Amino acid sequence: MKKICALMLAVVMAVGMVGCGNSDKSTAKGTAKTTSSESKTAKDTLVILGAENWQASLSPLKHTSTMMLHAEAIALEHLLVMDEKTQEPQPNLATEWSYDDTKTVLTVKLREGVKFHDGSDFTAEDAAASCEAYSNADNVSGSWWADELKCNVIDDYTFTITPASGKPLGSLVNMLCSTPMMSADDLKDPENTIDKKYNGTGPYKMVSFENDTATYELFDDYWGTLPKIKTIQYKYVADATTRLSALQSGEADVIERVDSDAASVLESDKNIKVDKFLTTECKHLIPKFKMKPMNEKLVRKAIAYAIDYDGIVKDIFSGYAEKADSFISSTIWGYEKVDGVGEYDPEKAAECLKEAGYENGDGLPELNIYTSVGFYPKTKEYYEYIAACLQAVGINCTVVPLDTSAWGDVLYEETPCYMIDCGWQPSGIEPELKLNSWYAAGRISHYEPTKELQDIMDRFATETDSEKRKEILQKEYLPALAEEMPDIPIIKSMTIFGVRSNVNGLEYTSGADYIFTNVTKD
Amino acid sequence: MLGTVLKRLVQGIFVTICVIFISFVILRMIPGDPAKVMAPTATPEQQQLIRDSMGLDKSIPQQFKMYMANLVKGDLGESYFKSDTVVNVMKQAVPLSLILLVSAIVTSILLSIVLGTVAGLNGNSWIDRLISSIAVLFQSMPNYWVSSVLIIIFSVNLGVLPSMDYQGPASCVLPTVALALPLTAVLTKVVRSSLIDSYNQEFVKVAYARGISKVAIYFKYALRNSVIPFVIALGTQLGFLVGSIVVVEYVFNFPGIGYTVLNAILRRDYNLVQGIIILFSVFFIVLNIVIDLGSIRLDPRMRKAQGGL
Amino acid sequence: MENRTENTGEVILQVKNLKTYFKTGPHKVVKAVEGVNFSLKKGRVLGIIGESGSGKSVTARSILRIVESPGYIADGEVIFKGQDILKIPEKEMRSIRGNEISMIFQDPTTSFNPYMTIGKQLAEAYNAHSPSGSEKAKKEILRVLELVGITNGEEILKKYPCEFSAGFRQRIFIAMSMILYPDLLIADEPTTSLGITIQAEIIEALSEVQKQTGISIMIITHDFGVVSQFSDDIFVMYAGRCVESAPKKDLLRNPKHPYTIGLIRSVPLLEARKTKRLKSIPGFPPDMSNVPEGCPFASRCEYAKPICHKEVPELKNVGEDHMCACHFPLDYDVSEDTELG
Repeated sequence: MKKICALMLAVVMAVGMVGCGNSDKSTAKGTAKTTSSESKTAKDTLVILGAENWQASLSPLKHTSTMMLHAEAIALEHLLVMDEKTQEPQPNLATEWSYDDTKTVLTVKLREGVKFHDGSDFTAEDAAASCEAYSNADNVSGSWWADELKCNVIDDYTFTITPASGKPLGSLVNMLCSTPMMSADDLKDPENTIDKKYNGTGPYKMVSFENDTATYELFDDYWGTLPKIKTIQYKYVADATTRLSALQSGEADVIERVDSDAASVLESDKNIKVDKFLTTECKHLIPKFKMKPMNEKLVRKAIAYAIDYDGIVKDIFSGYAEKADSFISSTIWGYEKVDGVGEYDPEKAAECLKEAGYENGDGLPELNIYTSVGFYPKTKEYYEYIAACLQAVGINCTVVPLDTSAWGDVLYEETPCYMIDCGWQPSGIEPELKLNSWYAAGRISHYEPTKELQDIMDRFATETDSEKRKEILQKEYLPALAEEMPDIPIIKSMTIFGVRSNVNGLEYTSGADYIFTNVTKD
Repeated sequence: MLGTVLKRLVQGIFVTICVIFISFVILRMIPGDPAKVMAPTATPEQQQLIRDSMGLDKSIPQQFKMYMANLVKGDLGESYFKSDTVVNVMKQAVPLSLILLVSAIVTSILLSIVLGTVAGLNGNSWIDRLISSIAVLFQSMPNYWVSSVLIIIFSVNLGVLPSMDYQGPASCVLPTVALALPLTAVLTKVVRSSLIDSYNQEFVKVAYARGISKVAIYFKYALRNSVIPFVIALGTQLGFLVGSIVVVEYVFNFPGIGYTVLNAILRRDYNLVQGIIILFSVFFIVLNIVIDLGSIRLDPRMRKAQGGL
Repeated sequence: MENRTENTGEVILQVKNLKTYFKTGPHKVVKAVEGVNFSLKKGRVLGIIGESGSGKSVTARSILRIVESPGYIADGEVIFKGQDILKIPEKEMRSIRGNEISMIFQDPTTSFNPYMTIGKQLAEAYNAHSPSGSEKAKKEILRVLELVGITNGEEILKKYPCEFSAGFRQRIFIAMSMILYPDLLIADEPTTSLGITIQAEIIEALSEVQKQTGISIMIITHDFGVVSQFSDDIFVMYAGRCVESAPKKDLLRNPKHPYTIGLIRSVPLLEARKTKRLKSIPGFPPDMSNVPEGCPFASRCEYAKPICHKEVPELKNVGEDHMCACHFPLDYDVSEDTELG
């Protein structure tokens, strides 16, 4: 009896040691460490693990969630696609588009021979219905839009778009790069169609959705180049460590939202590669204007100068982020650096405070920063860093971490926080997607623009010529924002994907949607 | 006996109703609500529209009245995020958790009897101390850590078992082990100490003096007399086990009731959370009744005291 | 000690130079039984009497080899039915326990398994050595119950031990020990934890059993009254040794050892003699881990001489069947003791 037990214990310990040990596999390529095992997914299947919960409805009209946007983009397509290098919209489902003289009517010609997954043809009726529904203020997706759209069908492959207010909508063409095309019939009966299943024109059609997993298969009647991978499985896995383990054990091919600590572990693993790039997302510290003294420009500027942005990137993110240098991310159309943003200058901060009458922070109430935990990476850590930076110039500040729902509660409120953390990942690269709701509408900060700034915003909103738009944005709008500092941009987020080494050719849009055209698996 | 059972059941119903009410109110009072989770970046007006469609615009007492009216009919409402009735969602999730629970319990019982016997029969020898130390170790290791370690060893490094989801029997092994370890530890200690206790009892020594074989003494005297403390410990631990299942399922992404309730809470899926709370509450009440009455039944001395003999 | 066989009957049990020690510490050994010799004849009752700590229970347990660790049998022989049972393998010993030699214990409350019915435990006793059908077992069970005076055996079988009084339980236990017709019954302080009226009940039951089956009994007690009622031969133990042994009548009329005399004088009622005043033996039994040189009783003996403190007295024949371990055995006639009146 004793001997049997001793033997059993020895076996258990042996297995434990073997399992826990790192195996150093030397190959001809070099001596990279491998802590993971062989891939377990089928050669013609790609398994992707997402980090956000599926919403109750799949309808693109009813959410603003990033993961849902990625999931949609696998099956649904847009009228135009943005060329990343030239930052010019290219034809996709639309082949030609042009404004009339008043710049209020955009005529769009569509590609012929495109089919929906359910077999019906894609016509102007569908495009018109999609544009109207997507921009409708009654739908959640309407919150991306500065104005609603009214569409008229001319013939099967031609239709016009007019902003409902009658004023020119400068952002319209760019916005068409992120407006998904749905079937007009589906839009009439959403509960039985788009709420439950995607029906689009994309290379993959959705075949099932259960247990938090969406399964897509190649759509043989696709109008463009058919990718090689036959099946995509897009699955929500709640726990970050579980996603990581699944990637390492070979049960998943791609995982989203890897945090910077895990990224360095994965980088050293031979079986895994890390795709990292800047997204359209920026993280900002947003003051609440209804809470004095946040309405004082000098105070805001003092805060902006007091923060050591490089320190945050290096120490908190280990280099997996970039410091903000503008009010929009570098991947956004029309991006340009502006002075005053991302500048660390404690002396200037002290000067601003002195000028505002709060020398060394005297006279300032104890401020607070509300931040979410568990949604954006490392928020608690870098806000504590920021609080320390503020402390160094005399501004007393506490950090209040909240879970995502509680934070969501306070996000739009006027009180009780002085400042709140927020990120914004627009669905496309059109700058208005951010600038409008943040500064023109002032939804989170309750900021009211000055007359000058308001004027710039109005002109930008109605300018339809893309060259002229860029000029207003870069020469007037962004500098004016830097002068006003309605909020403080902190970092440009990097999104990190973990991908198995045997997956080749996976590409991404700047919104981090997947491009599967050239993907193959060894 | 029947009278006691009925009395306890009535008490149980009363407790459940209190639990329902308290959880109902607390859920709606904590920050965040389903509308904000569904559309975090929508305007407050749009979020309110969503709330109205869920009936959350009414006052809490009104909502409670409507909920109870439906509950009596057996309607637990609809989940906001799973577009299915709460009853259906639970029906899918519960069997999967039961697989884990039953496997964990059976494994623990078998392992603990073996280990506890080895430890108890060789009291204070090196093997007893080894087993007791291992038991303490297993009991103190937090279950999310154990789960992660198991995943690292068996899925990532050895690659022999899946790390997530329900994919048939292989995917149930690691979660079962994670659940079973602390339970085995506790039960092993119970078996060990009650065996040592039994063997110290006079009647066991007398049985030995009567020439009863050691095997018979082990099974009929020592082990059988360990049944009561064993059953009581098992019943108590069952409560912790059900709590652990939430964490373990989450780490393993195993779609049982624990995973479901955790996601429901994070998403503020009120109806689903409420339904699962009711389920757990009923479970615990029934469990307690069974343990109490069971232990009285099993011990003839207590039965006599109760007047049952 | 020479072999003694009586011509009145064969010897069923003979204990030769039994030594049982307890290792209580790395260098500490308690010599609980230090060279005990006696024999028990078939059909007779041997009463072993002594104070607490005299080693009488340990002797009984040594015979059955159920001494608990840290006790161990250091030396000696126990010849039962011609075989030295200290040397046989455990398996054979187990078949003797409960079968050929049975033992009854002091506390009937803790002797029974509280979770099993009486009937089951009796059946288990029966089946432990020769498993057979329940019908046969039941017959035997009812038989032994009747033996101890329990006539409503059928009714009580389904009940649990906790449902009966202590005296009743002890009788059932006696019955249980008799179920396989053992040759020797060892009773280890069977009345010590019971009240005086129950004592009588138990002694009565034992007598009845002895009369009807002719079984040999070894009864261990510290109660002189019990021994004088019930036994045929008496064996007095002190500090792990035998100090005197004789048939009852002889011992009671002419005790030779100062300790035995002291015991007799300290008993309130002794057959027909009534004592005016109890006389207790001064002093305490020795520390068994540190026994002094010489006679273990010397420090308490009013007749002790220098030699008593130096040499251990050997067990010598002082009369017919009468052995005594004393350097100066007394000549004492109880009937002439004026103090005893």
